[in-house]
Amino acid sequence: MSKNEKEKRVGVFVCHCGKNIAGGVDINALLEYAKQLEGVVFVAENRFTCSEEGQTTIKDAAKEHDLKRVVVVACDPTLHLATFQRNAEKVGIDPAFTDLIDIRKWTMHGSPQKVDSEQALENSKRLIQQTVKRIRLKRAIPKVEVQVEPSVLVIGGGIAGVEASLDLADKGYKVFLVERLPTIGGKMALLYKVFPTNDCAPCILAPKTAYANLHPNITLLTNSEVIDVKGHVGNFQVKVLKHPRYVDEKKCNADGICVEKCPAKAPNEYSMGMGKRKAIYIPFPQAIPHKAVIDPEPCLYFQKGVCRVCEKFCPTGAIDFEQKPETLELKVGAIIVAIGFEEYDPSAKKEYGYGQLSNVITQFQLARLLDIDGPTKGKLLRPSDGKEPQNVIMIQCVGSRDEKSNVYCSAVCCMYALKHAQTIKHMVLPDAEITICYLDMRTPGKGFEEYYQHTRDLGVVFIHGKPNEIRENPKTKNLKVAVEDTFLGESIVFDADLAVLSCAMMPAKGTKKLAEMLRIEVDESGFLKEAHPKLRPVETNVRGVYICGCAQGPKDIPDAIVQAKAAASCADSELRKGKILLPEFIVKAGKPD
Amino acid sequence: MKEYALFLGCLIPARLPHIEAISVKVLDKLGIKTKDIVNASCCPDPVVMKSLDFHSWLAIAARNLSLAEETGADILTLCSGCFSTLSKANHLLKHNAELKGEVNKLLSEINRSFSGKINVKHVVEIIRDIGKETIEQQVKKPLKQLKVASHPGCHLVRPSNILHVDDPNTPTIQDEIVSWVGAEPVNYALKMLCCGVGIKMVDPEANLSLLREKLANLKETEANCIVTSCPFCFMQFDKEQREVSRKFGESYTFPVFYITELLGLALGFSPEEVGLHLHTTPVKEV
Amino acid sequence: MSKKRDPKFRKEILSTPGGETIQHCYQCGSCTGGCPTSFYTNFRVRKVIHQSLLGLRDDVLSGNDIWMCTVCFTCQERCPTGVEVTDLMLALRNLATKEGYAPAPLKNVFKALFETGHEFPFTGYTRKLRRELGLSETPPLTISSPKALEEVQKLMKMGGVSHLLKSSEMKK
Repeated sequence: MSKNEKEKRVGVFVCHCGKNIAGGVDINALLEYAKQLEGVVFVAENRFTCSEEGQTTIKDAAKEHDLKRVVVVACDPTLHLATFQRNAEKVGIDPAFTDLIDIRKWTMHGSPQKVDSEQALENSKRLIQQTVKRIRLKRAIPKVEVQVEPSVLVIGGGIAGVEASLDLADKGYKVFLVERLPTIGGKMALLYKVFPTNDCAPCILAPKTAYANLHPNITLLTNSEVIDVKGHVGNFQVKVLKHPRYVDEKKCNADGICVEKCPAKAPNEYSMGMGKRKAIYIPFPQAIPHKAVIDPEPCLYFQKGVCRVCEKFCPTGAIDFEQKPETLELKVGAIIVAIGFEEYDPSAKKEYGYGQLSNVITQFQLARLLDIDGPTKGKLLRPSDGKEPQNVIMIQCVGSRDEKSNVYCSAVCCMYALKHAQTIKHMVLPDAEITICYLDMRTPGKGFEEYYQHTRDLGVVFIHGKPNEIRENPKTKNLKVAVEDTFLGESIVFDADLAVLSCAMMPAKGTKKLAEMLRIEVDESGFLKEAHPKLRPVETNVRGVYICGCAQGPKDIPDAIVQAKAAASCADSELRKGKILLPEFIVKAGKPD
Repeated sequence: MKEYALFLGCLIPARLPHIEAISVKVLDKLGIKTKDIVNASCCPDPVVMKSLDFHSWLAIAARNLSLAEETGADILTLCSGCFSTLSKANHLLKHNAELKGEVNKLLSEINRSFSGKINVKHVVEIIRDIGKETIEQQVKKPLKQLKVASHPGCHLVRPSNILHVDDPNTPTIQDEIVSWVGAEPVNYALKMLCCGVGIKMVDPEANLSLLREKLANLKETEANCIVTSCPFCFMQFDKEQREVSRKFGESYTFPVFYITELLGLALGFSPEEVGLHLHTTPVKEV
Repeated sequence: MSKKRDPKFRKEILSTPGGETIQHCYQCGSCTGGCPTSFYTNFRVRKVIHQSLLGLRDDVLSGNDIWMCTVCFTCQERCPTGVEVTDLMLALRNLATKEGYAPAPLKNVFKALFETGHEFPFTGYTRKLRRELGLSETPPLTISSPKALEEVQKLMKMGGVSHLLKSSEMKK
């Protein structure tokens, strides 16, 4: 070991960050302090250390003064640590020996942790002292070259999961697409139409899901869930529990005879609880795999040991009550989490009477009613008496922008309310009176403002005001909606036949549990947390695990697809060379027992 | 046997003393002991006094709370107004150390202090806590002929982050008690609508219109009487139906019972003992 | 029509008990939609909040609107963004009272409280009725204790209510 290495010569580089740091602490005092610390042989200041000029200062100083350790005193390491490490590596300094410490949080206007300049100086001195000491005690962690598994696990078979899977499969990776429902397609398959094109949702989705089913590189694992994850990037060991369908997928030809004959019924989750399905069922016409599945809970055979009518009538002998759950052990190089969302349950908003008043439904339920393949075959029939409503009121921001439930805006509700209003007007009840009660109309995407204009041109009326209460006439089940029309400045009670609540988008069930399994974080609203809200929206705090789609936060289909492609690209960047360098202890820890 | 410090307030002892009388009798019969809070004053009311000066409102309330604390028992209020004031003052002072310090400084001038060791209860929750079985056992005259619309009033359940008596949107506390005394509770759309007494002094016309809205809705149901646990609401329904009828050319004659009057009748007290002859809107059913 | 905006009004409200949450308001009108008074008068509580945030101090404090609230708390219960709407109306009333705008009937109630310790009088009729009902003629409250009344009056004076003890007309 050279004498200089023994000395562990440290260079300290204090950043001004414009006025962000220089305006909140005495830079000179910091430089003077750092100079006299043991091991520090060079100090410098820069206006913007992350700039090319700043990076050059570090490289030049390292060469000139034979630095072995670099401490940059500036901003949040999640922003630029990698930048400085790569920079120092160019002059032979191991990344372990470059550190970036954040004093900007104490000095910058607008930072929630800002303190006065004396306190900032004290805090910064202490932090610099600790960092210099630590970086001299540190040992470089040996890196091990690890052969990666050229495969990716995608959790969630909605549009985001399917898109990510297709991209990766096309790039040549093996993809395991795990979906907990018996079909892929997610929520998009149930939307009937999508904005702003008013395309048929399952129609534009089907080519993707069909291709995912056929793609030689994709293995579809439906009716399955991830139950254990071990390992590290390049080499994750995943256990997947495949629940039995009780139908042999190879033999089932989806002729539907079993469904017709089955006597047992259950609420249809694909119709959001409106209408029923059988114990044996095919989720919807475009379901992939297009095969029947038995739900053991309502099934008379599983509950009482009788029936088996489906088996009797199945011409191909596809029914197999003996199927058992299977646990698969997969080795993958990266994981993409695309588990989507669920609709907020507005029963908690007692003032709107959802769950008590029969003619109060949610937008998802409306989507199912409007769907030609839905429970009412596309006729808009209200729940209480099956009559077509003449007077529909939609209420925005139910469970969103609400400190009592979810503080965030759910991004898509304004647009899907407009979409449903258009669908009703164009296709179902052109003369129905539709009123949308809103707080703000948020229509920022391409074609969205025009979509809003078109909705107004169809005669849909907008009230700026959030209804206070919905009441019901107990005999007719007609509704009265009490709202202040703020533009009129009048408190009015409007009549309505049907009220539709635009509910918040919530994280999918099981998000927290899965996050814990993967050791990634969730944010305050329960969505999966990105590594940095601005610069790293699809990465997580765990290398090799990526998030996309509504699992990361409310968004529409184009944005979900963008994130899916981004996550696939991240996984590809990580795995494409076939090997990666990892700190030795991670590899040792990650080895299976 | 739990003992409570009975907070009488002003409206009941001064204007509706029959409610004081029957409430004490009913509580005694149901095994609830009460003691006086000697020298308590007006709570002071949560509408007028709080509108004029928050600091005096809080100081006087704190004095009442400190008097009750001396008895060592939780407060039992007969009136929703007192319940609202005392609960809120208690809550504010318990959770805001700075405010508590300021108020205690004022109280020390009259040799008192607030410590925050008691709770405030409304008579209707005490009755609910006695429970279905005990009350049904004691009922001598089930009030079968009564179809009772519950008017919970505003100050019993709102704001729900401080008052935890019942659900603020669909409270059933009075309806339950109604069914325990053998009567039939009747639900109606405008159950949670305010009786309007808060603007009576400032806009009596609007007040009558508001009251009429409520009575008109009741007329659409099977209800033949109203029950309430707030003396202000009681006076609205008892004394103003004539005015409403006159003003709008309609006829409203719903008898109104205080919750303890209803219990009194069911437990066997005579209509005179309960004080029904002192109602303005006549009570004919019983 | 030009209106004078008072930038200090907002701070005044924020530092009055009950007014601390006014800035959360995003004018959704959930409050007014359930306000009982709004169906029979021109009172719109949402509008009063907006006027207050704009700093239209004179309009708000001298107007009738803030006295039209029945204090039923329906608005406060509904507000999705945490504005304590009813408590805010009471805070505005406190500020208006300091300016001398309290309606006369309310000031009379205050007077009764100051003079007797109770807002309702114990008349001869009351005493007779109480006797007949088997109760004490006057209950063991402040009405029966001059010392207690002194305590109450002392607290009220320290609370700073001299402006209420003087008479002044309600400005319509």
